Amino acid sequence: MDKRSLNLQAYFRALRSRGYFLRYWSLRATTQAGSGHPTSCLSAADIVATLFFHTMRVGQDHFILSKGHAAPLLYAAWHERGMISEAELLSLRTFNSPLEGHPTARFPLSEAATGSLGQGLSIGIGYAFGEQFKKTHNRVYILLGDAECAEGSVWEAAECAAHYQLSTLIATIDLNRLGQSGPTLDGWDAERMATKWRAFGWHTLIVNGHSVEELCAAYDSLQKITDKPSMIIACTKKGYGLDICEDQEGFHGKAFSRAELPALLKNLATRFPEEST
Amino acid sequence: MINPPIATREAFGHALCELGEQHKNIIVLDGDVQNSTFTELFHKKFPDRFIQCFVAEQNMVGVATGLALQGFIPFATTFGAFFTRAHDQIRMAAISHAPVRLVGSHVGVSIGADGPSQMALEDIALMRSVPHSLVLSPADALSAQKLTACLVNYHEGISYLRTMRGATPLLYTPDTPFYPGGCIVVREPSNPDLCIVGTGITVHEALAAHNQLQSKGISATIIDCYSLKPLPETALRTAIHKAHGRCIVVEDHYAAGGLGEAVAQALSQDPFKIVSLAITKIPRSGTPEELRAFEGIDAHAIVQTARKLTNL
Repeated sequence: MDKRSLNLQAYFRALRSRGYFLRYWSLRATTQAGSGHPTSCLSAADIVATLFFHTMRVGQDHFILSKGHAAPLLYAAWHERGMISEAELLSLRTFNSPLEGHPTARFPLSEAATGSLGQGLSIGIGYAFGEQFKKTHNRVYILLGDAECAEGSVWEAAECAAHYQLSTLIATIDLNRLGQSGPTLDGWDAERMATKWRAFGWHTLIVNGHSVEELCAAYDSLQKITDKPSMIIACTKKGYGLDICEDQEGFHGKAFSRAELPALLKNLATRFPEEST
Repeated sequence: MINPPIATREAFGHALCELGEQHKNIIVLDGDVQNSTFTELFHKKFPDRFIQCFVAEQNMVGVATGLALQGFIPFATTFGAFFTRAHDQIRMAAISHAPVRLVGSHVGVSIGADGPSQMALEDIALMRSVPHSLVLSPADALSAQKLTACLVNYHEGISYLRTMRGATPLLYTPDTPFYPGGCIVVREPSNPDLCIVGTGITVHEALAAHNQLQSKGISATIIDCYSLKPLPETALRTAIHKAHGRCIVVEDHYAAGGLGEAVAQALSQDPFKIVSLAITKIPRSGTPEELRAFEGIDAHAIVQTARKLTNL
């Protein structure tokens, strides 16, 4: 294999490793807290890894976690970037900690309080307009859940963003098929979800949400879009990385116990043999 | 007439334009009612700082939140009634510490023929319930102008201005001070039999009642409580104490969570007799005068209540 492709291999492995560690920390933090939404983090970890370590100009571009219950991922990403200590990371959901169950203004690196679903895209539009007014045109990345897309406010925002051709707005849906109490409206019918966003006027792509190669290529390809907002529909599995809960109903919002965690972390490591070392 | 009556919604529209000159980071958002809320004036003057959000109020408030978080001064404006569907976005803006400015027009039964779907009757309750919010209700054009400026200067939380559809006479002069937590004692007899506290249109009804009461030998302190939150607690306590502890609070808003409840709660430890007049029946189409009479918040109702309260 030539040097360039070896370098690329290493690059993507490093990115996958980030995804592994985002999962690792999400599990550790929620177990330490005794509550949280680890399976919702496990599905979106590769998306967040790609955004934070490949795509976004961190400190310039904006990231809004519309699926706010995946807060541990957000905190883990900032830990991986060296902004939060391990001790602080593991203080998730405690009274004195700025790392709350869903992001609030008390966590200074959060760009908006979220958690009540369906609002992040609208806030992102506000950021996009703000960037226009400031003439800085930094990009705004928003991560939504698929169950979240049942909210009408998501479609109000979809309409608005397309109408104003907000090409700096890049949204991603973590299409993990499972909501809180059962499967979502669209399940893994990514085409059906994509049809809706295209109908609203969004440039829309479907990718494997656990392939950092596909995610990187998809985000890179958006540079050339100048007249519409973009939507990446990332097909994922809720609880990805753990045999016990991967794509299983009944695990939403359930943290794993301290007793069961060591075995689960071992399982996660075996699923990411190259990335976990 | 030197100063014809002018609606507070219109005065707000003009005030926003003036403020837009001084503050270059004011951005105005509309839910396709700019010609009713008078934000069309700002739109004409500063087209690049106006965002049409169409009939999608939840998104409008969310967009305003994003703008506020970036240091802009966003004014999200629509009929007061239509902010109710964005209550979630409003309460989340507070949690974000995003100082979104909200202006709700067409408040109360006083909008008339359009009927209850268009009337803001629970907006005071909604906005008061948001932590650290500022809730203001101007009774005339001048106070509308000054209170709009108060919204610009309020960064500690969300702020809300209640504006009326109908034209109201000018009550104040340019040197009258208006500030959060303030109120104006519009009539101050030396030995009042009671105190009447109103906000918005009910200040005008109270003033009409004052004159009718005077002819019956009853003297009333009239207070324009334009600051619903924070409430001018001390000023109210002083005035009501002076009026033998008798007070009528009257509002064009449902009872729950309104001015009456706010006053009663704030003064609950005082030995006062506070009677609240508010909207208690689902309103209907009619003229503003008919509707205020129907709901018992007009001058006549105030007079009847005052006579009973004072036994005079």
